[in-house]
Amino acid sequence: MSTSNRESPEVATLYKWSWRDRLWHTPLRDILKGNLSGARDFQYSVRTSGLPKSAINTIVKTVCATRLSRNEKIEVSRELVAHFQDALYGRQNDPLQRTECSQAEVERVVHEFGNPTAVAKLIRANMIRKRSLLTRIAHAVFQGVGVFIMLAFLVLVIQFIRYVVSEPRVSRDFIVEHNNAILQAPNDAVAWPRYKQILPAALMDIANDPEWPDYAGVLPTSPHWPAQLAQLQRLAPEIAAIRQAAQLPTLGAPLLLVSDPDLAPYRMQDKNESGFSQPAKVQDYETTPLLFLIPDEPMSDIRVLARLIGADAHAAIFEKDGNRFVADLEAMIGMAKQTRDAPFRMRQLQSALMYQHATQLMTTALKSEASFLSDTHLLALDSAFASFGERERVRVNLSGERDSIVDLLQHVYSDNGQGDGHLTFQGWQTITRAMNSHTSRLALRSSPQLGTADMLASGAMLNLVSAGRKQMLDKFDQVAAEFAKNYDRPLWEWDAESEDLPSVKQCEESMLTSLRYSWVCIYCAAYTSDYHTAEVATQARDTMRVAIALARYRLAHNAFPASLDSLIPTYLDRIGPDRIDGKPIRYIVKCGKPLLYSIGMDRIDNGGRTIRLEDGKVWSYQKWISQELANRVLKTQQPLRSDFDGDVILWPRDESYINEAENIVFEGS
Amino acid sequence: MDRIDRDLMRGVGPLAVLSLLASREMYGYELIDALAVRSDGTLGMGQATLYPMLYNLESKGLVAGRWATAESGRERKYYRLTSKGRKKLAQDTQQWEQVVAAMSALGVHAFVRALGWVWPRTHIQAHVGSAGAL
Repeated sequence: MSTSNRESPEVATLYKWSWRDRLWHTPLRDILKGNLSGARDFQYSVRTSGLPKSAINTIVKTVCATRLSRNEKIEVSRELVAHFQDALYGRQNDPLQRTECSQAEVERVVHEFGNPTAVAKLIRANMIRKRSLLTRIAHAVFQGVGVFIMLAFLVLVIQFIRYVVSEPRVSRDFIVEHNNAILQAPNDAVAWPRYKQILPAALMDIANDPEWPDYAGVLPTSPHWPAQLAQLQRLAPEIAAIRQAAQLPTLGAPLLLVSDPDLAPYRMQDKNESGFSQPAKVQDYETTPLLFLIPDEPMSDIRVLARLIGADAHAAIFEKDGNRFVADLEAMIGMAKQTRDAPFRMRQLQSALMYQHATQLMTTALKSEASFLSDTHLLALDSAFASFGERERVRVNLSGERDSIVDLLQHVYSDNGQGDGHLTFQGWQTITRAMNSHTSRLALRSSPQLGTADMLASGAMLNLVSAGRKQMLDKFDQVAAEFAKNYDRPLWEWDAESEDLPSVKQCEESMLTSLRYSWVCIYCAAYTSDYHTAEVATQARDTMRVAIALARYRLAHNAFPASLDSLIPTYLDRIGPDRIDGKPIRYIVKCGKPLLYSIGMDRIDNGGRTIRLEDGKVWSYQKWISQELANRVLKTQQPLRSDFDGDVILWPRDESYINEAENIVFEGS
Repeated sequence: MDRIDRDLMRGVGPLAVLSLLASREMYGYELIDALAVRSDGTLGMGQATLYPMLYNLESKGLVAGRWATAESGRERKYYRLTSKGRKKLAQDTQQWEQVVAAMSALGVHAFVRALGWVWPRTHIQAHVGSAGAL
């Protein structure tokens, strides 16, 4: 007889049972009663059953191996405890007072019980049959979810390893390819080398005169007027050189990863004086030579020169110097045309802005009562304005943007040799650092740098949902095709708004899509404005040509024509279309002042009646939207209808001029 | 006596358990004990086999279990035959009687004798006559 075979009553304390275990194994009803009974822990009840250790171990091993639910385990364990108690102690009552069993007896009973694992297998199979249909379904679902989670986890791990281990392979140098195309033109046809010679003097002069940025719109009545004239006189040789360079057919400014060393010192002075932060570090771009983030610094230089020319043209108006004005405007339009030689949206936008600036200056010149412009001047200006863009309209050339995204993908995604691949950690680091650097530069302050762990995690998450390289490019082509189909035609033929295009809709409505095709969705947002800008430039060009023709007619006839038809064919071969409906731009003379107008988004010719806001101000903003959206607005969006009720003055877009034309006098004005 | 072959027991076991439960409800160990004693060890079932078998019969609705505390103070699960179980027992008994008769006709008397502990003697005698020598 031995007592060593039996669990002592202290087993409960020996059995590690934290309050968390106890809570976990306590039924809700007991918890509500404040009793952490732990009744759902079969091990506890088995170990405190008073059975010999080997029997307990057999039961525990068997029950554990059944892998049944907790309730089922409790049931089985209870039955097995009863079984062993019956087998060992027969009908004795108190387990603690009964006769002890010999070790041999215990071993016999345990042996007769059989192999716990085999028993567990049989018990499990039959207990599962006992389950109700609902329980079995629930269990199957639970198991299914478990398998799914396991598989998902496995996929996650594989994805993560793939993301970390893979490397992008850069096979094409798009910057070199584009520069080859840009630099293909003969030296005597490219303007950039000449601009580079002019820039140091221009930039230095600006740097030495912090008030220069205000000069572009200075009037003779301004106290700055003499200073501006002095500066323009000082820079007369540079202005003359700009005019000459602007006559050349192409800009030929290469895409540079690093600041041009010839110009960097002057740019630095300008930026520091203007309160700008230090420009991005050169090495940021050297290490991440991404086409779409390239610092197109020649564009900012061209802007400086265009402003200088603009200031000179502005001064020429007030000095009534027709030749100078024409030369300056030809130069500005020439620069706008040159800038279009690279198929990137930023250059196209810049080009349109310079052209718009030229139209504003022209408007100012034409408004002056005693015009200083002869017919020869006007003819030359008409020719200059007409030369911008294609004959029918200014078109958008975004072919370089596809290269930008292909370049981005090759820097960020892996390459399986067949044009496909996935996001890589190395690539994600490249893009994150590059964008961070770019953002810092634009925001004029430092953005927080992402640490390695942040990049590892964020990229891994994005990698889970991000489309593959090929899918991404296919999506881009799909978006570009949708945009081209809808927008690559005159405004009056646009079918839908960008947000109605299927691809854009997906990007905007589905978070998953916007993450999956993140790079493409970022591009989507910008595309509409490119096409809008082209339409705005086209309308400005066609309107300006009519305005110049009117001025020429007036010079010849000392009056404005009753109809624009009188301008054809002597002054114009055709009247450019109103972009809203494709019909010729509308014309009216009010109080002796000619007005060119569009019928506006309501598509109703109100005889040149302008849209006025509640405070009486002229609403001269044309809405560049499709007919479809305009109709929708007119039907449903009442608050916006007032913006549509009337015509939009295209020329001259000048509040006081229009008020005079409409004989409206505001008190105190 | 030697235990019978496992394959044979697989068919016999459930019927034997149902038969035992036909008279009264019994708990697990009691069934094991009864099977071993009443068949003189022939149908002595591995203890591990009984419980899965009971769960199986329970899942089919042939037996039903209930927990009860015995006079000894010990908690046990008692199994009883359900009405479905009774029908099943009747069907299987009939089939076994046919088997027994067939086996007997083939002269396999030992087999018939071995089963004598489960079924009432009258049932078997009706089929095998005095040749059964039970």
